Amino acid sequence: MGNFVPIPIPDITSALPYPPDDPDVVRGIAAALVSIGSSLGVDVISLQSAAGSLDATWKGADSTAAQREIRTIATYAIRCERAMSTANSALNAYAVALDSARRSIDGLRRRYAVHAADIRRTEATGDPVASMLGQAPRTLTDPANARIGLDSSGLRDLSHRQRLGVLGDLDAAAHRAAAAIDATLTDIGIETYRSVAPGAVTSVLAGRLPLWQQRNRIRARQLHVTEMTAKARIAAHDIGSLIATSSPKDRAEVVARYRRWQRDPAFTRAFLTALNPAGFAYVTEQNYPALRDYRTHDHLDSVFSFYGNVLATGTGQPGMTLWTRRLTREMDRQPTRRALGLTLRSGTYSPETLEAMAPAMLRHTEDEGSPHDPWDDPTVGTMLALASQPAVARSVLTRDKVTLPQLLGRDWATDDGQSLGAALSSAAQAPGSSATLAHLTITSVAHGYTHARLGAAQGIADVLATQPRAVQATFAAANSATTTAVPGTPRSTSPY
Amino acid sequence: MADTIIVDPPQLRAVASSIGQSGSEVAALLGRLGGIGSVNQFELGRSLEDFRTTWLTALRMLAEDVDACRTALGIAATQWEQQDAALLVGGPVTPHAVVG
Repeated sequence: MGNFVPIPIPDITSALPYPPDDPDVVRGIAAALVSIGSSLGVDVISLQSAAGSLDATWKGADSTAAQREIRTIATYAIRCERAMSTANSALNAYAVALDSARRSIDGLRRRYAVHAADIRRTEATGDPVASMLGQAPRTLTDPANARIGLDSSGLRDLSHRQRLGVLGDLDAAAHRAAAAIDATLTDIGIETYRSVAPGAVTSVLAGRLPLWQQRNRIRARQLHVTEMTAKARIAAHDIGSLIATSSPKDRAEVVARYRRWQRDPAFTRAFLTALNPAGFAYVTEQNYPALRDYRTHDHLDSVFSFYGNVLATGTGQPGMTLWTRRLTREMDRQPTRRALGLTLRSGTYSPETLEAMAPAMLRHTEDEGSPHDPWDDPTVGTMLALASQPAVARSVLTRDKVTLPQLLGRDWATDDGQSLGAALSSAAQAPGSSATLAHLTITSVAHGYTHARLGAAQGIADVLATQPRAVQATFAAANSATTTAVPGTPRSTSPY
Repeated sequence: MADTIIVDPPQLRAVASSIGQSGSEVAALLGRLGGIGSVNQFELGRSLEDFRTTWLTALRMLAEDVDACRTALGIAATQWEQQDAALLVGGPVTPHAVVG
């Protein structure tokens, strides 16, 4: 038989370790939380007092909003304070359970020590072979060992089982504490069963604190701009690349994909920026039909109305002044004017945009509006756009002594002068003095310069009605000049 | 609804300052809450971590909100100061404190 080494009896602390948490550490955490809670309590009082004194300092809608905000903050600070207190109680209860667990383990350790001593004594005095094998002594002479029936491995098992019982109680206490702490999340409005999702608190509070609602709206707007910018770039690519080879119907179908955003500020601004002014002019020109075909009119109307709404909304956005100015440079080209004339028939343009675009469009009115091609009159589109902005209509029509007489004197084959009439009616309604507008109109009409057709009559009448005395005086002077004129002299001459 | 003056702007600034003080104190609590220890017991440890994360976020938002209120009240006080002339002639004063 060789030399057998007895299985060693583990020392007490490794056989019966305490639970991993230290009650003093847990109490420290609990104390820190209650201290934070009480600091918050002071802040709550201070906030409530501030809201109260605000009421005495400032009255009105904004003050009410400010007080509501501050009181809401105080409400959530109270919830936070309450949560700290709840967590404090839960952790203290857990610390008490830890104390109790440690006391139980201490009891187990004491018994363990007694049993270990017994076993060692048996090893020394009993069956040496069994003790060397770490087995129960074959001759149990010691009454204590006989009663317990333990050897070293049996002692380990027993200690382990008893310790598990203690830990089970502690585990139940920890679960109770965890449930209490989890409940504080319900108090803030978060429904959660485990691990709070990132952003959950932010979204809950953001929905309740007024200022955060405002910030959310800003964030949503930023997201919208990002989304619209991406869509606009795709739209610019789709429209730009399909245009050369596709039929009016195909173009209308492509445009229809993006029609729902034709008045969206972010989409339109990004679309115009992506195309740049020259690109926008090119794209619209490509839609201008080389041949008239009534079967395609609806498709083209649909395409140009999209461009009109996009141009009107997009150029009205901040930072688009330079873009608009660059587009006006393209207007010296007749194909661009034709296309933009159709484009301008749709959309409501900002005053600044119209102030920049209308004069550029009107630079070449004399050579447009062919009676052979009644669709081909960009001046009609310009007049219709001006009709939507009375102040700009008046400003543009009276910017010099030539523009209005020229417009009154030209032929309006496309619409019988109705668009001019609309612009004049609008200009007549603009605030401020209409003297210059009336004077230019009266002079043209009284001296028979105008060739404008019936369509403009209502507009002319609206302008003249703003200055009845000036009308009377001008017609009187014109009649007098006519009666004294040398026979054979032309009745009138064009002012340009 | 036009706002009316009950007390002069310095009074409002005092309220703003008091609110700002509260905001700074709430902000200071962030560090204390962030620094609390943890427990080893698994279930409780996770709950405590959730607790800390949640209330840290809430406190941070509250501190920012308080600060925004303080700024808004300061703006209102400035608007009033700038409209002294309107006050002298009894005109309506409408300081907008961009809250809510």
